[in-house]
Parts: sequence; C-alpha cells; structure tokens
Amino acid sequence: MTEDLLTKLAKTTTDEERSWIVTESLLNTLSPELLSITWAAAVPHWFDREILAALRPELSDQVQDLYQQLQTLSFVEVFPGRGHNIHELTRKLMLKRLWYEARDEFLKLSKQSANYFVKQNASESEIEWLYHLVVDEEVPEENENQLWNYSSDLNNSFRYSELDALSGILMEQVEAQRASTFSSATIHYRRGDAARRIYGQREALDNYKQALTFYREVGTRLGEANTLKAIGDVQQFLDQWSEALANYEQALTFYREVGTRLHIANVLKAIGDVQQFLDQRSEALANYEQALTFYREVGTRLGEANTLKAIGDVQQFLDQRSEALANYEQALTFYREVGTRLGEANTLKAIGDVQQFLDQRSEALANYGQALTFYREVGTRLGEASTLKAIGDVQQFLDQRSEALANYGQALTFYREVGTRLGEANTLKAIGDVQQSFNQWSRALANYGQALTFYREVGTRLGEANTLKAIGDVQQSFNQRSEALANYEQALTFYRDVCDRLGEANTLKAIGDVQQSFNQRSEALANYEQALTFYREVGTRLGEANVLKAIGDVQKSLSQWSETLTNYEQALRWVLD
Amino acid sequence: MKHFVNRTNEMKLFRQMVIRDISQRILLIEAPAGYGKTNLLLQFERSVPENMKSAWVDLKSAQTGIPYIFSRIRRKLGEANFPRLATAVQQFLDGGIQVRENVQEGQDNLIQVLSVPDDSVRNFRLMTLQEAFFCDLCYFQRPILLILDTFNAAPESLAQWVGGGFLAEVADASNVFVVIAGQTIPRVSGEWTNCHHACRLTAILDPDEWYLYAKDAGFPFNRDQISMAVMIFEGWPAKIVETFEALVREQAQ
Repeated sequence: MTEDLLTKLAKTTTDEERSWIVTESLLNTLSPELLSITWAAAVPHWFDREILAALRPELSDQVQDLYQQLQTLSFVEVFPGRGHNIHELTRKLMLKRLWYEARDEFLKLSKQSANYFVKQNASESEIEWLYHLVVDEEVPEENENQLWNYSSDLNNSFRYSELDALSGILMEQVEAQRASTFSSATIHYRRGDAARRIYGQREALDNYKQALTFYREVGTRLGEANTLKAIGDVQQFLDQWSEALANYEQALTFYREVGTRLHIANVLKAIGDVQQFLDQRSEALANYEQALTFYREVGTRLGEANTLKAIGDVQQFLDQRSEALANYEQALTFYREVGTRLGEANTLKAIGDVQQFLDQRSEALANYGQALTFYREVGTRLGEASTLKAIGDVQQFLDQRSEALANYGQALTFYREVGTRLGEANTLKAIGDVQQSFNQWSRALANYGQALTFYREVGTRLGEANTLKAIGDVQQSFNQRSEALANYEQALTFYRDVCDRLGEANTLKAIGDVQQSFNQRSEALANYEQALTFYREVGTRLGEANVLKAIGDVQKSLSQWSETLTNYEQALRWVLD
Repeated sequence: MKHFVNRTNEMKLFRQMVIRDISQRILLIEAPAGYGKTNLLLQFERSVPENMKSAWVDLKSAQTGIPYIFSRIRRKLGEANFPRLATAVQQFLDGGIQVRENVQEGQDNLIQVLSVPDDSVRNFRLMTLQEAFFCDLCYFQRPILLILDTFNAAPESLAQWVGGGFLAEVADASNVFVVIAGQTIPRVSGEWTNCHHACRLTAILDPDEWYLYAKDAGFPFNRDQISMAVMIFEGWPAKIVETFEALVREQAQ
C-alpha cells in the first residue's frame, strides 16, 4: 500500500472525502480516453456502446474497446436489459465533482444525453431524456413545457407508476440543486400528483406546498393557481373543508387572471363540492351552474356530465326530485357519449334512488340492474355493493324478502372486501330488518348489535338511532319492555341530535306503546301527542293514523268514549285515504 | 466475472431454502449501498439446484411499475407458460384494443389494463392479473426462483404491491421461492411473515476473508496492508475493492 494514499486517507474526516480520494486515485490511473468515457458514463443512469458513442462522438471509433475496458472497473455493474451503469455511490460522487468543478462539461454531457434519449421510443428513455433536460439552462421555458406536457400526459392517462418513477428520478436533480426553480416546482407538483395516488395525502400536501414556494419564487401565476387547486383537492380529501375552500377561492382569483375557462370550471365545480358537504347547498348550486356554463362553452362533455350529476345530487337532497331526475338523465346521455361506464353506472344508481323515492319501484329496479352490470364490468366493488343493497331495499318493500336477503348478503361480502364500515353497518341493519319480519329474533338482534358497533365506530348518529329503535322493537316483542324503553330513550336523544323529526315521531310512538303496556297512561298520551305533532309536521299520514289509533286506545281504556271515537274515525280516514 | 467476498451465512441460508431444508421460501437481504448485495444475488443464482428455474428482475429498471415485473418474469420463464395471464389481459382489453404479442407491446398492454382512474377498478384488475400470474407459476413442473434486486429503487406503487399482494401470493405458491435485496426491504406483513427470513448484510471486518478475496482476485497485498484498508473503510466492501483496484493500477503504471 503506497504511503501517498495512506497519508491522504489518514487526513480525511468524512466517508465522502475518503471515498472520493479512492475513486479519484482510480480515475487517475486510466488512460485519457478511458477517463473521458468514464466521466461521460457517469451522467446517464445507464449506458451501452451506442450511448457512449453519442456522448463522446470524438471517441466513436474506439468506443467498443473503451466500453469493454469500462466493464472491468470495479464500480461498473450490469444494468439488466440496458447495458451497464456506474455504481450509485461512485456516480453520485462523480456527478457532484463534475457539477461544481466542470459545470460546462456537465451541461454539455447532459444536453448530449437528452438529445440521445429523446430519439428512443420507450417510457424509460423518455424519463431519462427529461432527467437531462431539466438541467439545461439554454432554453428553460421550452424544457419546462416539455416536462409539463409529458407529465400531464402520464397523469391524464392514469399512468401513476411512471409519474412516480419520473418525479422520483427527477428529484435527484432537485435535491442536488441542479434543476431550475421552474422545473423544481413542476417536479414537486408532479410528485404530489403521484403521492396522492400512491403514498398518501400528507406526502402529496408536502410536495404541493414545496411546489407552491417555487412557483411563487419565479412568479408563475398559473403554476400557483394549479398548485392551490391541487392543495384544495387534498384538503377536501382530508376533510379540511374550510382550508380547501380558501385555497380554491384563491386559485379561482388567479385563474380568472391567467387561466382558461376549463380551469375556472374545474375550480368552480370543486368549490361546489365543498359547499355541498358544508350544507351550503344553494351556494353549491350557484357554483355548479356557473361551472356548467363554462364546461358548455369549452365543450367538455365529461365536465358537463359530472356537474349535472352533482346538481342532481343537490336537488335530490332538496327534495326537488323531478329536476334532479332531468339533470341525471342529461348527465347519463353525456356519460354515454364519452363512454364513461363508471359515470354511467353512478348516474343510473342515482336515478334508481330517485325512482325508489317516487314509488316507481320497477323502474328503479331496472336502472339498478343496469348499473350493477356496469359496476361489474369495470370492477367497482363499492358500486356493486351499494347497488345490491339498493336492490335489496326495493325487494324488501315489494315483500320479496328472501331475494332481498340474498342481495344484502352479497352486498355485505363486498362491503367487507373494500372495508366500508358504514356500508357494512347499513346492510347488517337491513338484514336484521328482514330477519325480524321472518320472526328470526335472535339473528336479527345479533345483526343489529354488530351494526350498532360499526355505526358507533364511524360516528353515525342516525344509523345508531335507527338501530337502537330496531333493537327496542325486537325487545318489545319479547316483552323485555324496560330494556326496550332504555333503547328507545337513547334513540330519541340521537334523533333529536340530528333533527330527524320522523325518527323522533316513530320513537315517541314506540315509547308511548311501552308506557301504555305499563299502564302509565298519561305519560303515554303525552308522548303520543308529541309524536302526532311531528307526524303532522313531516306530513306522514300513516304515522298520524297509527298514533291516532293509539291515542284512541288509551282514551278507550279511560272510558273517554267520544274522544276515542273521534280519533278512531280520523285514523280510519287517513288509512282509507 | 467479478470476485466475491465470503458471505457464508447468507449462502448457507439460501441453499437450505432452495433444497427445502427450512420452511421459509422468501429471503430478504437488506444492506447499505456498496455492501455486495448484487454480488451475493449473482452467487445465489449460480448455485440454484438444477431442477430450479430462475428469473432475475432488477427493480431499478422498473419505471413502468408492476407491468414491468409481470413482463420481465414472463419473458425470462417463457411467454408460452403464462396462458392465464395472457387471457386475463385480453379480457380486460376486449373493448376493441388489439392485444400485442411481442415483449414491449405485451408490457404496454399490461400498462393499459392498469391505467385507470378509479382505484378500486385498478385494484380489482391487479388482483385478477396477480391471480392469473401465480396460477401460471403454480403450473410449472419445477420450482421457480424469483430474484428482485434494488428494491429501494422501485416506484412506490410497485414496492407496495411487492410487499403486499405479491409476497402474499408467494406464501401460498409452494413451488415459488423469492429473494429480494435492497437498501430497504418490504415491511413484514402477517400474510407472509411465517414464510420469510430477513438478513442484514454487515461490513466485512475480518482481514482473513479479505486476504482470501485478494488472493483469489490476484491482488498482490500482504495481510498488514489488507488490514489497514479494512480498517480505514471499516469493512465497507465496495470501497475496499475500489482501493485495491486503484493501488494495483497505480503500481502497474
């Protein structure tokens, strides 16, 4: 071992220093031609004879021999299917030296690499081309456009793995501070896009925020607006509704300055989605209408279809069912036009829901059936599960209880497969209801119990209330009246929490029934009277009739004959109506 | 061929695995850069039993993600041996897109099948392809060794799948053996934990092992010189080898 090298190594303090001394010593032993080709070989992630010839055209007549010699060096390894590469440890050190000590040479080799890889027709070569392009300072705007367009293509064609690979490889240049600020912004932005699909929303948010900093640094309003919109999308996913709204609003302002109508339409639709969730339904409708106008202006059928579907959803919620139906029908036409099976399936399901509500049960069944076929075609388990559940609901209403039970069972399997606790809970509750109607009390109770656990897990007060009420009903049938009363009382509290008047009325009626059986007649009457008020408020004639009958029963037991007769007569009138 | 510094324990473990002396069929090798993972995998591949077929996939080449693995293994083990996978791909593409037969286009078909906006649709398709692929592997009349190198360079979606669905299927496929190496390795999952063994390659600090290596590679150094190099680089294989090479070249000039 030579004293020179030992002395040098003894003076070092870091691994990197030591490593470079050894690599440099090795490089110094190479012939000028081999040294030149080794430096060139360090620039791309892999090389073969052809790549080396493109990078060092002046050595093209010796390249075959030099390539052979390169392969004997200890830091050169096989790159499967593509030739060879310099080991990542050594390559990193060499690139750092080249960048800081021979910047022109680095840029020249990068440009030549970009020129070589752009001519190759494979995904990995395109990624490699962009890797070299982002350090080229000659035409940064043009390069930035290439990067933006290529990554947009990957994103728009849902090729997220390649987007992840592209942004991951390009981050190497960002971290080494070799990429321009503009490119660094785009790389972080695309890393965010990939992260949203693959890693998770937090990682996406970190990358978008970094992109925003870079876009603000270079003063690019459009980049800033795109990133604010993306941040809003992530925040919407993370249930950070007001933060999302604030970012969308800011993006909208910038888009109005520099964006296209499509940008504006997209962000208006997003704002509407948040507002819908925040119960600001009229504001949501206004934004959807505005988005719809822009989508129509630019002729984006998919955007139009999505917005019509969203408008329909709001209208359905606002009990404007015929308007909702009209919008769903139009959305359906557009989804069919652009061939979006999933959109078609979702809309058919929504149409079925409206029809179910409008008592058009056979039409609802037909639409659910078609939606189910499409969900199966595209393989959306969640859509399949919710449609099977809906079909089961219709069948339960039509007294086709065993068919309903079979569909609920299948829906339950799929909900479990995709891990949707709420769907699972709703289906268990529905199964319990059918079992109750078959007098399978203990099975019903077991399913209600499981449903209750899941509703509590996801924090759905209404589901909890409905299930407690159902459990109370079973217990009442078993003469477990005090247990039933306790569950009814709890259900009542939850119905009041969520302002569900019908639920409240049904439960008050049930409580009255138990109290009547305990001979607590005045308490029963008070609850029946309150239930009656609520039934009248929501306009449920059948509920009103039942409670009038119950009031009549109490009055009869108190020998209040004329009051009894009046209430029975009115109850009969509503039933006959 | 590059020379190899002794990794006795790992070699022994691998041999035990492929001759079924131990029940594990998944071997994970974790080590920092320059610790000789790839060389070790090359040694593994050279020492597979005669009846075993092997396929090597370097994940640093896997920019296209999961389709790259399917496509690479299919090519290595023979396209004709994967009829179920081909049928599954064809069924997904039946909406008018022609299925192509050559390797690059075969990979493009797989990319197309998995490039869909809805996550649940994508997962359903992936699950179908995965089942078909492993079903094809199970129909081989001999054991199969899959070697996945540079796990740390895999795109995240691919890494997640390898650590999830892929290794879970391996655990159920009794004729399939897998070695995965990288600076990181898949996080252990309940579905395959009983089926795996993980090793962490350490620095090689024993000068005697290096002396044997130097002798075998024809490096003219004595034990003291070798001990010094090992000490300076704290047993870091790549840098010790590079030092030997630099010195030999310097002396030759």
